[in-house]
Amino acid sequence: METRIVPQTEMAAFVGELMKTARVMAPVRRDGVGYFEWLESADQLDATCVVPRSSPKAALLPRCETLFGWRLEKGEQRIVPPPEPIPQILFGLHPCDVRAIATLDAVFASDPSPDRLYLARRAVTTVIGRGSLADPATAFFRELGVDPMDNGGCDLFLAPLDPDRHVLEIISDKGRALLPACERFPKADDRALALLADLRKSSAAKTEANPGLEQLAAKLAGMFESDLWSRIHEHCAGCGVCAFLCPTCHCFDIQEEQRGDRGARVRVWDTCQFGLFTRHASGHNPRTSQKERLRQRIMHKFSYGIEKFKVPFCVGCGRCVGCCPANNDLRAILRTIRETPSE
Amino acid sequence: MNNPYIPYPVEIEKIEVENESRDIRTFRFAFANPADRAAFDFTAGQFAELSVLGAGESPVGIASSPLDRDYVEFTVKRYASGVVTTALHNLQPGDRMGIRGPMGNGYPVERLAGRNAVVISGGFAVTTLRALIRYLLHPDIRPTVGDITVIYGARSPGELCYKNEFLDWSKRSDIEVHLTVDKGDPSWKGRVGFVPAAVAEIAPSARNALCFICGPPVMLKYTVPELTRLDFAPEDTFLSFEMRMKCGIGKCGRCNIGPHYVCVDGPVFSLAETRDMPLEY
Repeated sequence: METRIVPQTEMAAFVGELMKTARVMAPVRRDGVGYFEWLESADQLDATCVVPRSSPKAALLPRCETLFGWRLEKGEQRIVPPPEPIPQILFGLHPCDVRAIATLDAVFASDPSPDRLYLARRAVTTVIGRGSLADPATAFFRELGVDPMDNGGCDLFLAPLDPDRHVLEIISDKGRALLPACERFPKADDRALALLADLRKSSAAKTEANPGLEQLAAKLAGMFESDLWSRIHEHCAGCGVCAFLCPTCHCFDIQEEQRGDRGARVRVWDTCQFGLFTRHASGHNPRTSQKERLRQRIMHKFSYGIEKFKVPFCVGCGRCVGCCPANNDLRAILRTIRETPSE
Repeated sequence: MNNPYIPYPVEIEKIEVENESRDIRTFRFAFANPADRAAFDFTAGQFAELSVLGAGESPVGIASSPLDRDYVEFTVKRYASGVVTTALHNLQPGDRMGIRGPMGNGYPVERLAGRNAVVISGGFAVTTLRALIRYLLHPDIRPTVGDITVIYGARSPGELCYKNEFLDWSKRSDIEVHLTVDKGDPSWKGRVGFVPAAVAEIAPSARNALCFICGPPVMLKYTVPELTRLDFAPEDTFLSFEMRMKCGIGKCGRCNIGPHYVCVDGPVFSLAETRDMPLEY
């Protein structure tokens, strides 16, 4: 694998080079808070942000996306296909956010009807991950087996050596296509690579090698009627911020937009935390209270997702822990589940 | 790119008002492009998203037989809060709209070869079972299955869907049809009583039979114990579920019962499968 050394001071210049080839989403900082956003200029980049508050999922599953448009022409309905996706680079993703893309891929590529809109956008997306030597306070990705120095799923990976330097690993064909933007940087020498190997070793030692997710899924499947749910939901306001910030939550609504003789069918983010999510037109609702909705969220993430798609629907980024207005803590919920005796 | 959200264009050929309340109508559609009808290859029990531009989509069971080659039919109940079903009910023959599908698994008709079929339904839920009966009565299919017994009930005679079709079938010798109504009227000469009571009284044989049952929750609640008493095996008894849906292709995450996505893994499940499901439907 080809490797380079990228000085921290050159990070914005690197992103500037990348922006000549595609649109780039990267961490920016506003009012002291990091967000993943489309860059308008390279100097917007916040090269120190580890897990921005918003996740990069909007690059693959836009918050509002036209599935198709339509217009009436002399009384005839004409379908207008959505625009083809344009090449895009996701820059500076923490390995937990990269893992989340694998979750989205598993869902949207699933048979019998792969979501070609998602897959087309995914196909023109290049993922540049960035490792981290310090874990954010609310994160629990190590518990779920995600190593913050792991370059899996990345096309390019920036592995930190110290606050001043990263090793840039050029991993895939999509990554190699960006070589012209990387050639300004010197090749990594043996000393740097040996240091990186050491850092990786100590990071791996701190990461759970056997997170036991299949066992957790099986245990949860038997806990549907547990009284746990009536206890934990009392803290939940049902605001849905956890789902909107979550890098793996992908549930969506399909809505209509119309103006005169034209309109569009659009996909927008939705969440199982909202009462309307499952309410039938007849008024019947299988999930009448926040108890059922919070249970659905936990079950979908740690039981159904693993059973159906073979991937957990949580990567331990900790966004939901940090941003819940009611201080609900998914880590504590998971601990309670693990400590509950099996029936 | 094959965009799974773009519906096939169809034209409404015919609209039949099914009930006295006039809130249930059967729509017959012709595909604008004949090749789309071939692509829309389905099994009885499958459903599709009916699409009205500007209003939205609604998932509805296919009411016609897969062997009704020239058209497809859907029976739609209009709800006061239903934007799409109301828009649909306001359309006229000749109007254009869309169909996206077929979706879901359908009834396991391949298991019916050489076996008897018992079909039980209540109210408006009969739609996909009507598709199944029409399929089984097709001259190519009828000789391959054994006895067909149908028990169908509605609130009142005026609420029986496909009434004339059921009355025609009841005159045939190759299908046994029992109609019942919760409450009769002066014109009704048939059976009066709830579906579970009719099932207990008619007592269809479970021998070498598969049972298909669709109806409102209260009907299912009291009919399933009767079927158990009659020795229908849970593996041989099939139900069809309804959930709020959007994508219909296992992506949008709202129709699951436990790990089962009703839109892809269902809507048809055996009674044995439903016993492992959480009670969240």
